[in-house]
Amino acid sequence: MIPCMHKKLFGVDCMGCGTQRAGYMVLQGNFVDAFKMFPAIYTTILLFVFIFLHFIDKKRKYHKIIIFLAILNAIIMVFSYIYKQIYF
Amino acid sequence: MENYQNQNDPQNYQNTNFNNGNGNFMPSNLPNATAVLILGILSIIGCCFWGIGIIFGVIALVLASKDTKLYKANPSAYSNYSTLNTGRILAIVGIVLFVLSLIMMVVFGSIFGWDVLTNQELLQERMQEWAQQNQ
Repeated sequence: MIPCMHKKLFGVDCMGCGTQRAGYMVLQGNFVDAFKMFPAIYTTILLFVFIFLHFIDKKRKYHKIIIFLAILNAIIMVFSYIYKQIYF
Repeated sequence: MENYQNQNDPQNYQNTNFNNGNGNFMPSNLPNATAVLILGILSIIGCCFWGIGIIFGVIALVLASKDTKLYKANPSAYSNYSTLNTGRILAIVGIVLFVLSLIMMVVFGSIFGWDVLTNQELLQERMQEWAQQNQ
């Protein structure tokens, strides 16, 4: 796994920390653990699925759902980061 | 494709963007739209890689502003403005995440003491104390 630059420099988790571990857990089938590790993992996966579709499927427009998922993703990341720092 | 019908319109006829090289006049793609989209994605992924995300984000915004000018000058000449707009918003989200993480570091540092910024356990300990005090 790629180490987090932020964590290496400062020693504190960043907002994206846990993405790779959570992705690995999804691949193993630990869906609940993955959500607990990084709550934004499912919107992140959906975001990348729709970006991929945007590149291969030129007939349909995916821009609205991509923008919506990106903003939702950012909001979940910020709130889950603060929650994780306080309660875990 | 409605531009096909009025290709004799002098305003459109003079625009070289309609010329796709075969003598047919078609809407063309904005030059940087896909690049902006990819840079926007990279700026979101890189938001936690301390500073890399904001570089991609700023490049994406600069390219997007160039293309937006092109598009605004002649909106009917280009067909993929939505790709550009998607990339621009992804870049903005990446930059916002980066700025929020910076603000959060400063806020954490000023509330809980600057030494927590190098120590995860200390930060969580102080935040839990702070949460209990404010309940």
